[in-house]
Amino acid sequence: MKASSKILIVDDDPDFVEIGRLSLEGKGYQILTASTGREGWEMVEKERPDLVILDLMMEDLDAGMTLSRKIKTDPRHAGTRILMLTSIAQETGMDFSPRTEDDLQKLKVDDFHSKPIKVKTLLEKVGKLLARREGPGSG
Amino acid sequence: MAEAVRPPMEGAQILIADDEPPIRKACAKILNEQGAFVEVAENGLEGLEKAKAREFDLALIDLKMPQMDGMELLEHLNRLDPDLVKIVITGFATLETAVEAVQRGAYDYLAKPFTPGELRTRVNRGVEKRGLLREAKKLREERERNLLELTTEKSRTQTIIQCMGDGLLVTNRDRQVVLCNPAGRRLLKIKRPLQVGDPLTSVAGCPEFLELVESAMNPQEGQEMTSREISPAAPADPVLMANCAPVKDEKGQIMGVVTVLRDITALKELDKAKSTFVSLVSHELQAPLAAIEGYLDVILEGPGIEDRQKVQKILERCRERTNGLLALIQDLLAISRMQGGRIVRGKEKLQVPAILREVSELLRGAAQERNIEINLELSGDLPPVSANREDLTRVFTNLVDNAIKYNRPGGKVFLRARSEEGFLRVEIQDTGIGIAPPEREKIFDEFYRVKAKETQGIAGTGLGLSIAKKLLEAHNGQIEVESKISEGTTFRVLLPI
Repeated sequence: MKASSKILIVDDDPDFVEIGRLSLEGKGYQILTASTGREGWEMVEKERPDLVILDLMMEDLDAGMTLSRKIKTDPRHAGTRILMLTSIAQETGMDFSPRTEDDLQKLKVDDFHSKPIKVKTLLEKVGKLLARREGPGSG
Repeated sequence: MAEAVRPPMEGAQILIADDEPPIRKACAKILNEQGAFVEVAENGLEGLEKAKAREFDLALIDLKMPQMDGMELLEHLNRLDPDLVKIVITGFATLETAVEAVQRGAYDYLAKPFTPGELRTRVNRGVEKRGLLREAKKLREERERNLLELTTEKSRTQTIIQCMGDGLLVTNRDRQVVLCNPAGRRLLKIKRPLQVGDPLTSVAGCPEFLELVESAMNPQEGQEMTSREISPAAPADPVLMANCAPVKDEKGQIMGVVTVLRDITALKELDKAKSTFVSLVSHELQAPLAAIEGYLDVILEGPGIEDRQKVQKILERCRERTNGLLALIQDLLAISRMQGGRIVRGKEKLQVPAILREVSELLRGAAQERNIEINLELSGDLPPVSANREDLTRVFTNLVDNAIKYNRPGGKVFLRARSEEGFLRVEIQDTGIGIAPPEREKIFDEFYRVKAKETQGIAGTGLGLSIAKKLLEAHNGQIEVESKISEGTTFRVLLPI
């Protein structure tokens, strides 16, 4: 685990951003935050984080998906790992959760979890993703 | 012949028609002694007149009379009252005529001369016969009345079936339509006139429905009724609930199926609205709890936070969200009370200005925190409104609370009340962020909250306005909104006086 990794949290829920920041900062990660897809993209360009924790639904229904695609299809950021979080299943009654590597590939994300997520689970997932050399979405 | 202890002719109405005064008198006397009421006539014509004037049980008729003889009187009396018992009196010489008279409807005959005993016996028997005839007549009339009732009952049942709100469709063993009422035709969208014997498939093409009828024709052991929701063929069509029950004969064999169809579209919509509400409520309850849990995890399981101030901040945020949850539950309880019935209980005559003063006093602290000034512009003499005090206080608390929360710091809130053609008009105006036109239609929806930079961090359940609207509607009132972005919003409440 690379303790100095840079993690960007993009979410419009201030509580989640705060909980993520507090728990990840405690592990020694450097935390950046954004509350919209646009802010998130600006932060990615400027700070080049190792991992982006991304909410699927922000100002638009698929703001998170647009951002993840943008990051993964840009060669400069192809190595950036993405953890997608969403509570969309509850709100729409639909379950978009990817089940296979192929699904993840299509969503252009490295891992996925539905909200709410336990702090313990979040830390585990972040740890695993950062331990990978490169996400499957790269290249 | 032994005589009955209690003569059957007691109270009997008897007519004696005889042209010989001694016989008339003697007969009348004997019969009177037996308790009968007797009337006498000197000839046939007079006898007929008397018989027309009132009802008799028995007539004693002498065959040989002037003016109208016994035979003719007999015929007249037959027509007049077929159940009148007629006994003819005849001399030996006319015995054949007596037999003829019996054939023509006389019940019996007395040959002259006769003894008082013979007279009593024959008349007694005649009166008994009359009793039997009347009994038979009563039974006959009763049967006829029952038949009449049966016919009325049948037409009444038919009327009920025709007027039923539910569709009724009866099919026979050969899956032919035997009966279909107007509601059934409407629900099944049958345009053409139906004939008894039309095949069911030509009437209801929907396979779900045909399957249901089949399963009612072949019920499982112990199954009385099969029910199924019939999904609409086109989105605009009604959703139907079909209840099929087999029609059995006296041996228990299935003769056909009776189907009751009910339009449950409104129920389905209500059901859907309730499910949506439950899922929204679950989400609204989960979000703050998940946040609180997350914060607790950070403290309990996460990396140690030494900074006391940080912990304090986390706990304060937890308390905020807990308070939000409690407020939400309060609002949910208010909504569930309203859903209990639209009738407003505990109405009293209320002075709206007094309530507005109370509400502004209650929220003065919150207003001062944001440096917001509450101005009351209430005209002096306002008629009272009939309303529930708690409900009305809640309405204005929600509205004034919003006017403070969504105001700019240092802004103003105006509360105005005046009367207007049978209504009391109350305005709650703020100088806040305003509501954009597309949002204006949604703000009264349950859980709808305007998402904008300016509203971030403002606590609310998304139920306040929907509760206010519901409460006002229950009071036959109204609420309207007028707003200009970054200038402010005015909510206008109308209450009937």
